[in-house]
Amino acid sequence: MSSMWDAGETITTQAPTQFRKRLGTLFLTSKRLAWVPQGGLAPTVSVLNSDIKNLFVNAEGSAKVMIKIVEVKPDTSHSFIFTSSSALAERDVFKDGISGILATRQALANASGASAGSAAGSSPSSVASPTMSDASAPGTPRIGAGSAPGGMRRGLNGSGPSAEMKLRFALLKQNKDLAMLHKDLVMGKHVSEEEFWETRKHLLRNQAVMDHQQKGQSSAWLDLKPETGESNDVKYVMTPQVIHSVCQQYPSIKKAYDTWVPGTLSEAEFWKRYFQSRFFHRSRSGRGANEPDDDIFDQALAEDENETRAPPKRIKLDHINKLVDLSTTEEDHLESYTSPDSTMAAGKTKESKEAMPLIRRFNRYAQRVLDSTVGPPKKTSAGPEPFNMSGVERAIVMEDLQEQKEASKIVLDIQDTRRYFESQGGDTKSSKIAEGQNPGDILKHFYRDFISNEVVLDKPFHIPGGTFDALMKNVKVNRAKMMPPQDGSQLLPPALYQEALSCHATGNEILRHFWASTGADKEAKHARMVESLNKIRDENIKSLMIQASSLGANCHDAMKMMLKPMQGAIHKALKHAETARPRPMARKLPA
Amino acid sequence: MKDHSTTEDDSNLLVIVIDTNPFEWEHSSAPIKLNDALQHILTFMNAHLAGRHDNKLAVIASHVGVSQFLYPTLNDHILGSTQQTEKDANVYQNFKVVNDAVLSGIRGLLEDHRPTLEEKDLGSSKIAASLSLGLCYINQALKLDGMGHVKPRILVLTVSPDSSSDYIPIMNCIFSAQKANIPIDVCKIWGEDAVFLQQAAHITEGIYMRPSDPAGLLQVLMFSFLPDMFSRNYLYLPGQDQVDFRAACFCHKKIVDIGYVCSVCLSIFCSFSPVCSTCRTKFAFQPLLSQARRLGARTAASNPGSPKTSTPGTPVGTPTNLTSSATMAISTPSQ
Ligand SMILES: [Zn+2]
Ligand SMILES: [Zn+2]
Repeated sequence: MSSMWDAGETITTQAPTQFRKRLGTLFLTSKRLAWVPQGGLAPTVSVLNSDIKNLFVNAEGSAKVMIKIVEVKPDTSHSFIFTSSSALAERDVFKDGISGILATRQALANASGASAGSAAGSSPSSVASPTMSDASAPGTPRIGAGSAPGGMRRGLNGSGPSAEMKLRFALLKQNKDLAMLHKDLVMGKHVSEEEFWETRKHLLRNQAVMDHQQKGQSSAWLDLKPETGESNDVKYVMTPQVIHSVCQQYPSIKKAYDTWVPGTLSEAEFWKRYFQSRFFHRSRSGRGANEPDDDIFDQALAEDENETRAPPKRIKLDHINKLVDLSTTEEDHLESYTSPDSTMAAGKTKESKEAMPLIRRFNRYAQRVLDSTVGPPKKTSAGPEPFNMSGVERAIVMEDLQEQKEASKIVLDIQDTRRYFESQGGDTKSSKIAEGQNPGDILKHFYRDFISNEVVLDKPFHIPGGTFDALMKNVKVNRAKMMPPQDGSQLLPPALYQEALSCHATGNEILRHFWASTGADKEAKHARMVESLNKIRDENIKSLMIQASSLGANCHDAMKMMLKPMQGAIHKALKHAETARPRPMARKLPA
Repeated sequence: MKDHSTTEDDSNLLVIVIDTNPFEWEHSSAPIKLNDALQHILTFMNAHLAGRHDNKLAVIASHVGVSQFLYPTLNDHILGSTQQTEKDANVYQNFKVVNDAVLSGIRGLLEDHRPTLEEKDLGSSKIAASLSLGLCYINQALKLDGMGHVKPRILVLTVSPDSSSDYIPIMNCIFSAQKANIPIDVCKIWGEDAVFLQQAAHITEGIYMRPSDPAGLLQVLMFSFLPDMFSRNYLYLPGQDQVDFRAACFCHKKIVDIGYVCSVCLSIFCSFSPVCSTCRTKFAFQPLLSQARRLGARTAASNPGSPKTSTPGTPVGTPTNLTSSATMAISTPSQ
C-alpha cells in the first residue's frame, strides 16, 4: 500500500468513510487529504493541503457524521461520511488536523504577506521568522472571511463561528512566540486546536475588543494637495473619504452637491468646477480674483462666508426654569462691575476680524466631527420646567456634584487570621511556656536576672572562630549568584538554545493541560497529555541531550541544567498520573 | 540592581527593633543571655553612630503585650539634655546617651511583672507593632528632612517564633515598607527561621540572617548589617534569599498542587466547599471539576455544565491552579 504515497509522505490519520456511496478509507497525510476506495490501489480523491480552502462538519447528533472539504478551486468540494463505530472521534481527529493546516497556512500567509495557498504547510520552518511588517495587504485573501454560507457555520467545533477563527489567525500573526508554540503543540498533535485556545481566551477577548473598536473619523483639517503630472497638469484624487471630509468642512458645498448632483451635473463635473472655483482657491491660498465666475460655487462661497462671519447662535435657554434663570431679573442689576465678554465678538478689533472666521470655522468643523462620532448633543428636556420646587431642584442639582452611591460590596469578615499563618507552613507555636509554670514567675525571674547582671560594654568579646568562616562562605555563594551565568545562553549554539527554550515552552503548556485535566470527566484528555509528556521526555529532551553531548561536556552540562526543571516537573506529573489512575479521586476523600 | 538614589553623603537612619520576649530569653534552651546579647547590640549601635556624624538611630523594644521606643524616648524631646546621666570620661557622650536609654528602657519594661498577656497568643512578641512604630518614625523623619538626605532602614533582632495572630499586621507592615522603599533587615538570633520576617526581608530587599552561633552575634551584625544603603551597592553581603512560597491548604495544612482559592479572602482549600470556612462567604455554584461533586459537596440539580454564571455581586470563586503550584508543576528554565 505504501507505494501509493510519495517519498517522505507520512500518514497522520485515517478512518473508514463513505464517499459517493462507496466505502473506502480517508487519509490525512503530511501532504494531502486522500480517499482510497475499498480494495483500491490508489486514491481516487486527492487534495493537496495547500488546495484545501475550508472545511465544514454537520451538527453533532445528526444521523450521519460528515465532513465536507472545500477546495481552493471554485465549486469543488467533497463530502465524506464516517462509518465506523467511533465516527465522531475519528472525524474530530480529521477536523483538528485540517484546521491546524488551515491555521498555520493563514498565519504564514498573513505573516509574509503572501497570498494564502502559495505558502502551504509544507514549509513550516518559515513560521519561525515571519517578518513583522504589517503586510496584510487589502488583497490578501482571508479564508472564509464572512463567506460562510448562511446557516452553516465553519468547522472546528461546530460552535466556533468564523469570527473566532479570524481572531486566532490575527493573534498568531502578531505574536511570533505564540505562533511557534502553536506550531509545536497543535501541529505536533500534543493538544488540539480547541485546547490550545481554551487557555488563551483572554487573548482572544482582547483581540476581539481591539477589532471591534471603530476608528473614528480623523479630525485633521483636510488639506487637498494636487498630484502634478509629467505634462505639468494638476490632478486631484477624490476618494469617498476626501469627499466626505470636504462636505463636513463646508456644509454649503454639501448643500450644493445635494442640489446639483447628479441631476444637473455629473459628479466628475461637479468636482472639476469645484477645483476651478473661487471657493476652492479662496480657502487654499487666499487668491481668488482670477477665477471665473461660477454661480453654484460663488453662491456656496457667499453662504460659507456668511456662516463664519455670523456669531454663533445663542444657545436657547428656554428650558431653564424661570425661577433660577438669572437673566430674567437682569434689569434689577443695572449697576454691575462686570461687562459682557467681547473677545469672541467679530469685527471689534483688527485681530479678531481676521482670526474670528477662522476660529469659528475650526470650531464648527470640530463640532461636526464630534457630532458625527458621538451623535448630536442631547436635548436636556422637552419643554419648560414647571414652576414648582421639584422643578427648581432639578434645575440646580448638578449630577457631577452628587455623591456617588457606593456599590454594594461584600465585607471581608475573617474569622481567624491565624489560618493565614498556618498555611505558610508554620504550626501554631507561640513562645513555649512550660506546663504548670506561671508566666508571672518567669517575668519576675527574668527581671531579677537582668538587674543582677549588669551589661558591661568594655569586657572582651569571645567571637567563635567559625562565625567568620560561615559568613565568608555565605558571601561567596551570593557572589557566585551575581556573576554572569555560565549557562546555555552562553555555551550552546543559538539554534540549539532556541530549540531547548521552545521545548520548554511546549512542555509547560502540556503540563498545564495535564494538571487542568485531573478531573474524572476529562480522563481521555488526561491520558493524551500523559502520552505527550512521555513523548517530550523520551523524544524531545533526549534528542536535545544527544545534540548537546556531541558539542562537548560543557554543552552537555548546560543543557542538562536547562532541562532539569522540566524533567523534574514531567516526572512529578507522570508519577501523579500513575498513582491517581486506579480510582482517580478516591484517596482524596477527607478522613 | 544599583540604587542610584543613594550617595555617600547620605545620613543613615537605622531603626533597630529588639525582641525582648522574656519567655524566649529566659527559656532554658536559650543559647545566650539578654545581658550578653545587649553587649553585642549596643556595640553595634555605637558603631553605626560612629560611622558618620549625622547617622541617626532609633531603638524600639518588641516586648510581650507591648512595644515601645527605647531611644529616642519621649523624655528626650521634652527635657532635652537635662535627662542625661552622669558623665563618664571614658565613653563618648553620644554613645552613653543611647546605651543608657536602651538599658533603662528595657529595665523599665521588665520591671512590670504583669504585662498585658492576651489569651490567644500568650508570650508572643509584638513584632508587628514595633514595625509599625518604626515605619511611623521613619515617615516622620523623612518628612522633617525634606531634602531626601536621610536614608532609612530597619533591623529586626528577633528571638521569638512567628506569632500566628500577627500575620496580617506584619504583612501590612511589609507592604508599607516595600512601597516606601525601606529595607527590613532581619537577624533571627537563634531558633528556627522566622517565616514572616524572612518574607519581609525578601520583599523589601533587606538581608535575612540566622547566625550559626549566637555567641558571634557582634561579628554577624558588623559584617552584615553595618554597611549603609550606599555601600550595599558595591558589596557582596551575606544573607539568604531562598524563601518558601509554597502554599498549603487552610484545612489540612498540606502543601497543594491544585487548590481552590476563595475569591473574597484568598484562603486556599484542597477541595471545594460551598462556604468558605475563613470568611463565611457562600458560593452559589458548582465547581467545574467533577471530583467535588463526588465528594458530595452539594448534589444540587443545577446543570454542572454551566456553573460559571453568577449574578453580579455574588462572589466568584473558581478552581485555580495556584501560583505556587507553578513552582512545582510548571517549572521555569534555569538560567
Ligand atoms: Zn486541605
Ligand atoms: Zn473566604
